[in-house]
Amino acid sequence: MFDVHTLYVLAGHLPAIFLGLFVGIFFGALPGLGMIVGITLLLPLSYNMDAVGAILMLLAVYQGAEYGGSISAIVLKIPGTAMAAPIMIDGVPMAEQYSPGKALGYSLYGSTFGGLFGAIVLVLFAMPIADLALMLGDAEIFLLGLLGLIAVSGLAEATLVKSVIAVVLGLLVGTIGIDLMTGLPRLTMGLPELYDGPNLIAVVVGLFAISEVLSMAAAQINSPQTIDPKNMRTNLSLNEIKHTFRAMLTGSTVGVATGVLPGVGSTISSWIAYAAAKKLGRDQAMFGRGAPEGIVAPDAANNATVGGALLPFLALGIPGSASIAIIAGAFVIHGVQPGPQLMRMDPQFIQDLFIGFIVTTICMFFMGRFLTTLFARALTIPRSILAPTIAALSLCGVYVSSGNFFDLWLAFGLGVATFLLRGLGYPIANFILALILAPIIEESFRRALTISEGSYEIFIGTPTALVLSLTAAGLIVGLTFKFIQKTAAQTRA
Amino acid sequence: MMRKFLSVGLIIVLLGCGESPVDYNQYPAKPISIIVPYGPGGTTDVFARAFAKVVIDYLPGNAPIIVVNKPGGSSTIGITALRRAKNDGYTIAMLPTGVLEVQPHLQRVRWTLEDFRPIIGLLDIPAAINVLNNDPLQNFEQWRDATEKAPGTFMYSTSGGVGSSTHIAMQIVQEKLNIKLRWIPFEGEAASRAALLGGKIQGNFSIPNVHKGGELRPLVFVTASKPTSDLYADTPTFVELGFDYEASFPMGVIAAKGTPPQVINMLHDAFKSAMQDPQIEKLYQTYDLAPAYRSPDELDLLLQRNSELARHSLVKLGMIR
Repeated sequence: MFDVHTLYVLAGHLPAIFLGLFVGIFFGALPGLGMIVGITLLLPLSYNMDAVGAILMLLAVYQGAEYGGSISAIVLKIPGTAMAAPIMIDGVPMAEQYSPGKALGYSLYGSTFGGLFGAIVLVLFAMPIADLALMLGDAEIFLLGLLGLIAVSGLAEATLVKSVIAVVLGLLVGTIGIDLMTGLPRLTMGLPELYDGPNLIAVVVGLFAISEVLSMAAAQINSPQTIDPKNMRTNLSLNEIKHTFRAMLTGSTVGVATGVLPGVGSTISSWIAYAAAKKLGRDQAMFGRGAPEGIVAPDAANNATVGGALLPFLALGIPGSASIAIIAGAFVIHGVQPGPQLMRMDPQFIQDLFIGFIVTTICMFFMGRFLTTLFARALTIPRSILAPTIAALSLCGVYVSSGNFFDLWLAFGLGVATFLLRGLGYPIANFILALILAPIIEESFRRALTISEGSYEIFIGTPTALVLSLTAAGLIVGLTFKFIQKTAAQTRA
Repeated sequence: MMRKFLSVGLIIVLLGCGESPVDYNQYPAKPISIIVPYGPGGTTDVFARAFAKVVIDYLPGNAPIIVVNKPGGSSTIGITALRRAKNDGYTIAMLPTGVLEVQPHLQRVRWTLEDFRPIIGLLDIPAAINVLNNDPLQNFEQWRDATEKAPGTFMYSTSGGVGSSTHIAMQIVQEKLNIKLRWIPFEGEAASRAALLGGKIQGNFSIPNVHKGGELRPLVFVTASKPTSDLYADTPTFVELGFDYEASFPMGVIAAKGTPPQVINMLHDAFKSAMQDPQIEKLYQTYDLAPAYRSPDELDLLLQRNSELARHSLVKLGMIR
């Protein structure tokens, strides 16, 4: 596989890969900016490059941003992207109590493992997995979304009532926009800015960045940071890697699987990965208190999603995520039509792309080690400087993403609301996940029924659907039973 | 007396200067913004960026043309931005015109078709009723027979959502053929393509891609335009089959109403010349699309026809009264 030609091609593409990675990690780490802005920035440049180089550079942005998002989640308690939010659950306690370097190290190793895993699945099993993904219809996607919602609702430390309130609020906000089936606007208050639903970047910045800045201001903003620079090292010992290997594998599998499903959105993979790692974890009590598995699993999932989302695109020409859809533009402009015929007719191109993709992941590891220590120094910046810087940067990011002033107010309003709700103990994670899942769940449910002409049999008609339905029903019954038991115990006491 | 005349004359001259502070001999003297009502990376965006680079060579001034992506609001936000911008020729927009034809009827926007002036039509996006390449239905007649025998069973998607110009076009097709199909809405092309390949639905209404080795084989083109490939030479168009309807999805450049006619003309001429430029010709080839030039008046007429058809269909769909 590694012939001279490929090595020669790769050497030529290394600068592009490093540029893409730098932009990706940097923009991913800055709240609000994120990979879409990074890809947009490099897109014009890519038009003048050759096909492989252009595509590798944009994929490097994607890969880098998936990792970069978790740097700020751990260091600043502000996930750079919505996908990095679950990393906070364990990343922040570990950084605060033990060592930020360790937390970042787990994050980097998890990301690299996930990226490589995704790449290898892509190289070896592209066609069969793509065909498998096609077999899943709307009924199955609806059930998967429902399962994700149930699984994650159980994660929060908050009381069940508050969790449910947060979920319902998220589902409500998720319905904002023009309804796909009827074309009628829902909860838009006549504002065209809300026709396509609230801008997710504005939502993430409001929920996490603005509310965190307000928390910083509310707490002692002039308190000096005391971080030992020695704790910034991102090395992991062999034992530590061994210990988290299973969680990395779980996360990567979940990441590839959700990335492959077109339209399901790679945004939820890290949440499901976290829930799965917790269920399979050796020491469940550690989760939420700085468990390494809680960091590596979602991080691995995020980066495995890149390979996963690329898979149906290369195999069938169907982009698996919004970012791949933008990268698709680079394919078209270079006259490359993804699909089965590309795999057959241009094996050289595919081979260069695959090897380049693996090299990108390896480069990310080294780039990450270098950049992460720089970013981690943010912790030593006094909060009185850090807070306004974050506010300004993240609001810039929101504006760049859409060019709408409305989105700035949206981020600001959500930030204030979140600051208050956080103080009252409502889990923000449940809210954002419900918001992301709402359109997937609702649309696939209604579409499944449109296709089946109103017959609910479609939800148990295929073996996959039947298994998923039974699992969901079991989970709901179990949760209800637990709740009744708990309430009964409370009333007795 | 003479002095009075002179001063009045001077005042008139000065007033005249105040009337037209923009010197169009040097146009563009400052950067022109070309709004694309979509995010980056899509077909419109790519065309806009390519034209922006080339068109400037055909204008007297040398300020650049900048592509401004204004996505959102079912692509109404970009158009609203154009409506609000000064109509001095320094803000224009490039877009597939469907949104101009449909949205004003839904009364959610504060502009109508009359608020804009077409500059030029650049291409006609082809659209066919497609099935999978391995589908037993070989041609339009077989498909029509099948749908007549089992009304409401053929499930298809369109590239746009409910009330979009592609959705409306298929409503008209069903009316003209007197058949009943089942439309399944999808959020985006990717999900609908997956459903089609997975056999959940049977067809779609978009650009076929067997000429690129893809899976979408056309039964009939509802537009006059086809992708530039010999493969489709024998595929009939709706009009060729004797039906009285031709869908048209032009992509063009527009300005706000009241933009000085000489600027419209300059831009029109520059874009028209750019269409012959080797760089732009190559772009059309990459997308397998044929250039389809339309003058401002021709595009205006087409938009009004499409708008009227859209209104008619929206009433039938029960979306407006």
